[in-house]
Amino acid sequence: MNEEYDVIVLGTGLTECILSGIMSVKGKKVLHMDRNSYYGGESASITPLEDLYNRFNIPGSPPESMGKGRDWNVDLIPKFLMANGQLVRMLLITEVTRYLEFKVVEGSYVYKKGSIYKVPSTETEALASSLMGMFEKRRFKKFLNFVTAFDPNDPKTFEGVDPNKTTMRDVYKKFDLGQDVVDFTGHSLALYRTDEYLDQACLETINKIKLYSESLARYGKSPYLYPLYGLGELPQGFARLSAIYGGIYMLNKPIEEVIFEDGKVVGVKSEGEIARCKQLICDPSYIMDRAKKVGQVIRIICILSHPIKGTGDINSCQIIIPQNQVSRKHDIYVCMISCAHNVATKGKYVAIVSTAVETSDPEKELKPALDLLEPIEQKFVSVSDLYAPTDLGHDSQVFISRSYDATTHFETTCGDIQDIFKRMTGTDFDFGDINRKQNDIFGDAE
Amino acid sequence: MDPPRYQIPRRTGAGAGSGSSSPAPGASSRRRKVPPRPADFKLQIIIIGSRGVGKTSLMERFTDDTFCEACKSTVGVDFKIKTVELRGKKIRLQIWDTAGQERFNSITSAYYRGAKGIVLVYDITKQETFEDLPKWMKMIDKYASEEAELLLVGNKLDCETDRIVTKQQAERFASRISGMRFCESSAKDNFNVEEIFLKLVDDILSKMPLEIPNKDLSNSILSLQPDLDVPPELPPPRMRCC
Repeated sequence: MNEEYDVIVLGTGLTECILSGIMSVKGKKVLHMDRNSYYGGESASITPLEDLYNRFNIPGSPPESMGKGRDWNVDLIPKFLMANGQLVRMLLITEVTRYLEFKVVEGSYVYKKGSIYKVPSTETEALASSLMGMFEKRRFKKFLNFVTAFDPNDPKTFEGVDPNKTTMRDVYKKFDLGQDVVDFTGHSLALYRTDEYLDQACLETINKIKLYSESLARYGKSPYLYPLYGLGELPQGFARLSAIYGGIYMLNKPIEEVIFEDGKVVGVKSEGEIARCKQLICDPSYIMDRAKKVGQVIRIICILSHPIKGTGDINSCQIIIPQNQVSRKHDIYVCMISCAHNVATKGKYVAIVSTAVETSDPEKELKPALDLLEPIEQKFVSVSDLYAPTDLGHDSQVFISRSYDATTHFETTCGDIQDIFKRMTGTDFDFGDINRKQNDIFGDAE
Repeated sequence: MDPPRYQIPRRTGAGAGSGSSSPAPGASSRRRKVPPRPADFKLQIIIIGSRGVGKTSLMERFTDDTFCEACKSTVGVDFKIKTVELRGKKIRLQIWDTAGQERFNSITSAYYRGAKGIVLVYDITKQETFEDLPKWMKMIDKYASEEAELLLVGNKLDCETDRIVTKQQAERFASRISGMRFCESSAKDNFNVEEIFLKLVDDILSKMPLEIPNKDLSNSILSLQPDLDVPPELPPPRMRCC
């Protein structure tokens, strides 16, 4: 405190930690603070288990069957990493991968008419799958080949489709794809949560399908990766990156006030002292008067002693419940991980169910998903408001992040990071911005 | 100048018994072009302790045989690698530094993960760094592997005249913690530095089964980036000329 910084960051969620890392690597003087005693903010993994019980006001302590409290690292928000996605790219370029270990998620499933079906990850699985009829599979294969070959910079691959004008609905029609295939493609491959994309230009959808297949091609089994010890390891990895480049870290720091002069941020007050800055990055909870509610998400963390019925014996999976299967507007997701990921004690599984809230009884909305998980040993329910900034920072130099949404991976988080970067610096984010100098890793030599 | 009041053992290339950490004098002059054999084991060691006790200095003395008096805070150092030979095995040590996050008690819990050995350092001339030890032990108990080997190090033995923390105090502290070894060192004068790391590694090895393969047994763990198994060929370490 009592010094001048280029950037002060409030909150150690993944978004803030990545931005802190980017700024430090670029040579900015960064002060990064969090009111909590732990890293991660809303994207933290809670440990020990007793702390999770306290946080959700579950009376008493965890039963003995839950093993040692410190064996647990429970995510607050459920997400996986797309193996070929932007977050993995950031991890690789910054070499934060050195601080982390990952496992491939073992399978992806989709809910259809009351049962769950494996989303095929190999040609063999695709041929055997009952998600589509035989003839549909042929047409689907032609469509997939088209998507794979599609290059927005090469009109020879367009086959009459305009990436910025032709709607996805029309692309589906072009390949004569039936409703089953359309649903499967939109919700299990492109990972849309609603059907709004159908009447929008097809380029975004084509790119999402490509991302899915490229990610699947990396490790097989599924397109998803998950870090051992929980998602909370991710912000910590980027915080370390920032610290190595000079970032100062202070946890347990209550923030009293963000100070402005002539509409521009000049500093932050905490415990009677003021730290000055030129720019401020924070999550909405530190500056609620400049953020607005844009939605609500319900998340239920479920502890199980068994893998999910219908998935065999796998230690991790995703289940997609498309909205039209349960008469909703938004899909429901289940993310399941287990002791194999060092997030639970031996023999236990953690399944987190989430969706965008649509009614006044959010818990009831999740019933179809919870039914898939029974018997559930313990549930932790949270209904969270989602926020977006009302102040984009052009005059105030305050850059507020968006809350973590209900999508099943981090692409939108990376989008927010790149957007904030542009608002802060005026230039587009380039992955080269975070390339570490080789000798910084080892100090000298080696 | 007064002669030093303690011995400063000098390691030669052909160390006795417990292995050496530099190539035998003959090898360097032969300039072998054959890539070195990959390590049998990879071990992660972390160094913890309050600000200014000499964590980075101890690491740099061990890995590079350098000491920088003027270097204040640690910026720019992630971890350092040193390959040693012990019990006939080639061991690649990855020694992590705190990146300065201990300054405001903000070391990540992730830092403790995977560490097979933990070097807990205090400064014998500063009482408060010794009194901070229970705080570090709390973090270790909470986040580190229960199998991690612990080593307590009282650093800055070269400042014996300014000593505040006695050997007995520290031995008493270490004795209360199961399996914790204690010793004193000086990164500046290169006293006991190599010994402490080698002893730590030896303790770790004595607990490990001998034939664990290089990769984790459940080879479904991905590191996303391949480790540098074969470090780039380096010029031979500078030998102090006779």
